[in-house]
Amino acid sequence: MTPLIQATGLTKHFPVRTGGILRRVTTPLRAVEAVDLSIQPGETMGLVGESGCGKSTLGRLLIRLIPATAGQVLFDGVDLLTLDAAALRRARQAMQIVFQDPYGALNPRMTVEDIIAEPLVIAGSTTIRRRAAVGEMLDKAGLPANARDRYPHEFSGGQRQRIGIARALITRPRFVVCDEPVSALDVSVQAQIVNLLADLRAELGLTYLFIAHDLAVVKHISTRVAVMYLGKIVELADRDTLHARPRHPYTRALIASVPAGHPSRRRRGETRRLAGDIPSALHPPPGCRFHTRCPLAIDICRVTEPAVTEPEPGHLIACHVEG
Amino acid sequence: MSLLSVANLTTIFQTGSGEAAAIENVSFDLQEGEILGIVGESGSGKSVTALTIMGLLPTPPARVASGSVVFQGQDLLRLPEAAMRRIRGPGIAMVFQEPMTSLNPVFTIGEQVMETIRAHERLSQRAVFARAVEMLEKVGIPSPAARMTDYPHQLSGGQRQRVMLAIALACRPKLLIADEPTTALDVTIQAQILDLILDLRSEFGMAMIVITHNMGVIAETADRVLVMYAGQAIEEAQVTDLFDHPLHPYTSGLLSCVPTLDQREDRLAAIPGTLPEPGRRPPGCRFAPRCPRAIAECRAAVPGLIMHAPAHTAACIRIGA
Ligand SMILES: Nc1ncnc2c1ncn2[C@@H]1O[C@H](COP(=O)(O)OP(=O)(O)OP(=O)(O)O)[C@@H](O)[C@H]1O
Ligand SMILES: Nc1ncnc2c1ncn2[C@@H]1O[C@H](COP(=O)(O)OP(=O)(O)OP(=O)(O)O)[C@@H](O)[C@H]1O
Ligand code: SF4
Ligand SMILES: [Mg+2]
Ligand SMILES: [Mg+2]
Repeated sequence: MTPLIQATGLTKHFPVRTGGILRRVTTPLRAVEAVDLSIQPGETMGLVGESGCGKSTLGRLLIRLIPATAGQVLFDGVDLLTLDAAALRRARQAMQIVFQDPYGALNPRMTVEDIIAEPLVIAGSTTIRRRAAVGEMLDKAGLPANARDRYPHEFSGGQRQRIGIARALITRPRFVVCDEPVSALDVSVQAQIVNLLADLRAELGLTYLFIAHDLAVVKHISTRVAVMYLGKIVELADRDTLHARPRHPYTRALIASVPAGHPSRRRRGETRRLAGDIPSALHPPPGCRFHTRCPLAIDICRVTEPAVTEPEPGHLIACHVEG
Repeated sequence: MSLLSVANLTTIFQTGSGEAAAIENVSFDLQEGEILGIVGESGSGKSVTALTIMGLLPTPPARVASGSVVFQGQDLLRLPEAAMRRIRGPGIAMVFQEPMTSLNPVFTIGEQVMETIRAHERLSQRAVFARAVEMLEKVGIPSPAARMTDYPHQLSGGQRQRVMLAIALACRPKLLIADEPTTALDVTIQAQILDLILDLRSEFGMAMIVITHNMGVIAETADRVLVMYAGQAIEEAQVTDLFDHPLHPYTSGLLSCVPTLDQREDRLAAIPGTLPEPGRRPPGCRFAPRCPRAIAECRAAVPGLIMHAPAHTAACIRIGA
């Protein structure tokens, strides 16, 4: 099957001013570095990793919200860079994003109807068709029909996230990047939104990249999970394998860091916990980027970057020791 | 006698649209060396409870309308500010969610740790310095003597939280209140800080109140748990009882709507609706509009906290019905 999304060597460097006021230097901040990733139609690829490891940047690169420094993304087998303007506009309709912050992502001066319909306006659809489409999306997203003439501030966080979802899905996309869609919500409201996203995926045949720092949420909704560390994917496997038999020392540490679900299973003092802080993406460590915190690191880890290997079919890992 | 005994605490805020109670009739006891977890969602009143105990709320707009906070036999709400200042530090210390805003950016971390020690103990300059270095070492700051001259912005988020702990523990408090001490941190750093807090607790033997919205943090740390919803305490139990036999429908809902790594359900059991805003809290049980078990009576009067099993109280009229 042709992957819906196929990225090869995808790289993003942000030029960042460093040095003092007198000696201006720009240093590339290596947000995403040579990532290969393919996502099959209908699957939900979970993407986890700690703050600043490049999850949002990777998500944005995949749907070309930002240009890549290097590398290629094929959408349904087609390189978007080769498309003419009209074809690119159509392709963009097929890829959407739901953002983390349900407050900041919505324009406070626009009505809910205008917010949800905006992607269609850009696509040049008629007013009548837009009204009908908004009505349908309100219903699908679990919002009351009278929401359309109201403003974002009249809604709770969970409802605003529903508005963001309705807006993302109104163009009938095939691929949706969900960038931490529940992180900013109250705990009791998160489950509603996770369930809504799962229902819409089934109903509309969507493919997701689901970004989160909460491993349990990602495990719940994903078919496969990729783990990122400092701009690199270090491990990727189907979700059950990844949790039952994690191979990369970083994945193991990440899983060991998640608090227990029950007081009888307290995990205090587990040996796999990591020491030290996350290094800066301005100066990622040479060799394996994880070696400064890795309990298994050996000499080669400090000089040579580990290649991605596939010790079992479908289980990818970049590690000299465990690969 | 309990180390801390909070009874019927009600704190009201003066707002543009009149007065609103942030917390209402909150009561709990804390024994020496015990860890009480306070769990609740945003706006449930966790921080206001802690800040009322510490006497740190600005008055106005805040006003403690009723209740008592008895710590080691004296009611802190009746103490003059000068006496309260002697309690903060050696008696009760607090760490906050956002370590950057609670450290002073223009002083070195060494000055800030030493300042706390000096405020409460008469020691020579050299002894103060030595104690500060010792505290930084205990909280796991590498090469502590060299880091004394660092400013807060030179530290990572996890290290800043470690410094906050060093400051809080410098005077060996009897009680440490940790208000979302790990929420702003990455998961691997969160785990380090939680481990550290619990290690220090064992070493110093103090009692703790751990405030969080994360049931996982409760599962990892608490001996006993107080669940808050919309400004009220709605359930209190030993931690294992709470997880195994939650009595209040809100607690059960909260426990089953949060996915955990060891569970495999295809659908999450969501709680419908949203949290009531402070000005628009419903009469009667505040959870009634979202509660699967609610009946008309629930909306009539606020249910009181009733003991249903040994050391297990809950505020719901439908328990056992
Ligand atoms: N526009 C930008 N200019 C400069 N640096 C950027 C920009 N966007 C992101 N970065 C940097 O790139 C790195 C990756 O950022 P990104 O937002 O992708 O991380 P993330 O994994 O999504 O983190 P979080 O969990 O905090 O959302 C970070 O170091 C970030 O500071
Ligand atoms: N300075 C203030 N003025 C007016 N109202 C306030 C003030 N501080 C808190 N409140 C109100 O008191 C209630 C309880 O707030 P509190 O900060 O204790 O919640 P919390 O449980 O700590 O929530 P969070 O998880 O978001 O920290 C809220 O409804 C809040 O709006
Ligand atoms: S390659 Fe080496 S440093 Fe990197 S994770 Fe594997 S063992 Fe650790
Ligand atoms: Mg992000
Ligand atoms: Mg708070």
